[in-house]
Amino acid sequence: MVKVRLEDITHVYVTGRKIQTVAVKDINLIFPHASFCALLGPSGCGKTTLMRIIAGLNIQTRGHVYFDQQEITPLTPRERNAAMIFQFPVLYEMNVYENIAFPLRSVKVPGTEVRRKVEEVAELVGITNILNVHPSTLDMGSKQKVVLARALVREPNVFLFDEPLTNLDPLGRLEMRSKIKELQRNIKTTMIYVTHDQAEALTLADKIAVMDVGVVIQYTEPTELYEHPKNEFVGFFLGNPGMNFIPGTLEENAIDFGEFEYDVSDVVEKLKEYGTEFRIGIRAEYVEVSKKAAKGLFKGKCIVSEYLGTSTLLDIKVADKEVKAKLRATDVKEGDEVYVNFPRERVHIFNKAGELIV
Amino acid sequence: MSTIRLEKVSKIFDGKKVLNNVDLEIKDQSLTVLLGPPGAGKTTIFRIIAGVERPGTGRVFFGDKDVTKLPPRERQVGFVFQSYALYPHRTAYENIASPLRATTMQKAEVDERVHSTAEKLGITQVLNKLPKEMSGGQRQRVAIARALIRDANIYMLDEPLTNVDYKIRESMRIELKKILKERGGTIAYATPDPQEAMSLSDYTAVILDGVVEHYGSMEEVYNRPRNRKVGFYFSFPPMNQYLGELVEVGGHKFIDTGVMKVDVTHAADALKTVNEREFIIGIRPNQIKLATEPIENPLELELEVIITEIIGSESLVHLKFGDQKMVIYIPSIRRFEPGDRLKIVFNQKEVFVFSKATGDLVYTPLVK
Repeated sequence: MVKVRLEDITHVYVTGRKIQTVAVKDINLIFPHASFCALLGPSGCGKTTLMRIIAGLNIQTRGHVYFDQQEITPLTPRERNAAMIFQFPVLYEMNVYENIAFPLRSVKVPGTEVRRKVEEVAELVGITNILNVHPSTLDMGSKQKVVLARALVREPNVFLFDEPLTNLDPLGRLEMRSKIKELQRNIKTTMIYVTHDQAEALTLADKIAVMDVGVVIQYTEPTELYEHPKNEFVGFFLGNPGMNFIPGTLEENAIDFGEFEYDVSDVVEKLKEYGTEFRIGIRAEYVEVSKKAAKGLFKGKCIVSEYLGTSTLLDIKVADKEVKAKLRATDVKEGDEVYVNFPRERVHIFNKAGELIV
Repeated sequence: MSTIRLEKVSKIFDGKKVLNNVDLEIKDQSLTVLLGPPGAGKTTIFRIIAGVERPGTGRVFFGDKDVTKLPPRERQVGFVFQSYALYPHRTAYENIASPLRATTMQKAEVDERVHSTAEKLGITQVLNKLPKEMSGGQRQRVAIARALIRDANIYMLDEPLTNVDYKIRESMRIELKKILKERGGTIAYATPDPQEAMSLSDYTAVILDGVVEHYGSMEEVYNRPRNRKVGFYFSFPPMNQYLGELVEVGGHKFIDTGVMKVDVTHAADALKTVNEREFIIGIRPNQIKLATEPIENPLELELEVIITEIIGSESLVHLKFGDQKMVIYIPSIRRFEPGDRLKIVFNQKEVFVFSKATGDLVYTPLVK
C-alpha cells in the first residue's frame, strides 16, 4: 500500500562490447496510493523494463525509485515486497493450497495463521473449490488465479502485472479482468499493469501512461487519453480504428487539402506560430456522412463499406485523401457519392511533428 | 465453373467425429466464410477440399467433377494457413513465386505476377527481405500473396488475421476485403470472428462441433439465425439468451424470465406454431441501449454492473441479470464501475425467440 514514484529513470542495456540500447529515458511517473495504473505501448517501448526496475529485477542506470518517501533503489526484490504476475503462470509441484501457503511457510508463519490466510485469499480470488487440486490439471485461467492468490497472501506493497492475460482464451480473459478489478477495489493496494492491449488498459486502469520508444508520451485518465491525445501516436494507437489524420497547408483562415479546405479561423493565430503544415485528426465515429449535399460539407466517394453488425465502417475518398467513418446505421453503399462533415468541436489539429496544437 | 461442393462428408480423428455429415457449397465466383470457434472443423474442411485429407465418408465435387480421389496437386487450390508457414531461408519474392516455379510459366511472366500481386498487397518494399526481417503483418501478406498468385479453382484462407496484432488486423481486414474483391474467383475464408464474417462474406456457413449449423447469404444467416447456437455465435458480442415461460396477462402474451417480462404479443402467431410453454429469448447487445435513449415499445431494467470492457472505440457493459449476465454494447468509450446500477432499455419487438426443446428459431424481428 504505497505510492510509487519514478524520478528521472533512464535505463541502458549493454548488449555487446560497444552496443548500448536505451530502453527507457528520463521517466518521471507517480502511481498514487491504492490506484490502478497501466503502462501501455507496443512491444519494445520500455514498459516491461520500467516494471522490472520497480520490482528490483533490474537496477536503473540513472534515477530513483521511491515507495512513499523511501528510496528503494538499494533494496533487494524481496525487501521491496512487490508481487509480480507474468504472462505465464509459474506454480510449484504441490497442490493449490500449498502453492498459496508457500510464501507464508518460508517466513515461518504459524500453521493456524497460514490456514486462515490461505482460505481468506482463496475466497477473495474465488478458488476455494480447487485448493486440493494439483496445478497440472488446471486451465490457464485458474492457474493465473492461483498465482494471484499466492501474491495476495504476501500482502505486497504493490502488484505488478506483466501482460497476465495474454495466454487466456477470451472468456477466461474477461473473467480474470473482472477478478483483478474487483480485487483492486476490495484490497486497495497499488497495482501497476503492463500491456500492449488498449482494451486491457482502458478497461482496468484509473490512469494510463502511453509509452513509445522508451519515453512516456501521455499519462492521464482513459477517456481523456482517448478524446484528447497529445500526439498522433496516441491518437492512432488508441481506438478501433485509430484516429484519421489528414494533411494540409494553412492558407489564410483555413487548412487547404487541395480540393477542399477546412475553416480554422477560430485558431488561426495560434496555428501560425507552428508553420504552415498541419494534419487534422478526427476519430472515425465523429465523422458525419450524408448522402445529401449541403453547404460546408466535403464531397467524397465511398470506396469500401464494411458492415460489422454493431456499426458500419466506411472508407471514404475525399479528394485524394482517405477517411474512415464509423456509423451506427447507414444506407451508404460502395460507390456512392457522399458528403462528409468534420464537426469542429471533434477536430484536433497536429503540427508537422505530430504534436497536438489545438 | 468451379462451384465446390461437399456432400455428406464425415471425418473421424482418434475416435472423435470432427466432421459430421457436412453438406456445403462454395459458390463459383463468391466469397464464402466458414465461421466457427477453434476446433469446429473449419481447417479439416479446407484440408479435404485441398485433398491433403481424405473424407472418411462422403464426396467432394469441383463443378460436376468428383474430385474425392484426386491428388492435391491436380486440384489447383491456393491455401493460406493460419500460421503463415513461409520458407525461412527464401526472400518474400521467392516465397510468393514458389507456386509458379513448379509450372512451365516463363520467368518474365512470373516476375510480372509477383510484382503486381505484391503491389496490391502493399509489400513491394519487402520483396527482397527474408521472413525474419519482416513484421508479422508483412509476413502474413506475403503468405496471402503466395496463395493468390496462381490461377486456382479456389482460394482458401484459414484464419489469415487470427495471429496478427489487433492494430494490424483492423487495417488488414479492410485491405483484404479490397484485395479479395479485386482478385475475384472462388474464395473460402475461415475465421472465428463474427465481424470478419459480416465484413467479408457473400455467403456464411456457421460451423459448430463439426456440423454446418446454418448456411446461407450473410444477411440471411445474421437476420434469421436457424437456431440459438447460430444466433449466439454469429453476433458480436454474442447474443444474450434467457429461458422464460410464456404467460398471458390481459390479452397480452409475455415471456417471463423471472427477471423480466417481455411482451411478445406481436409474435403470437409464430409462437403458436410451436406447442411449448417455455422459450429462449434472444437480444443482441447492440439492441440494448442506455435508458436515456428514446425507444419504441420500451422495456426498462435497472441492473448492476459487473464490469465494463472497453474494446477499441466501444464499450461492453456486463450486467447482473438474475444469476445470469446481460451484455450491452455502447458505441463510445464509457466506463461504468462494478456495483453501479444502470438503467437500460430495449425494444420488445426486436427480440428473437427460439424453441427451448429444439433450439430452433421461432421468431425473428428482422426481415431478410
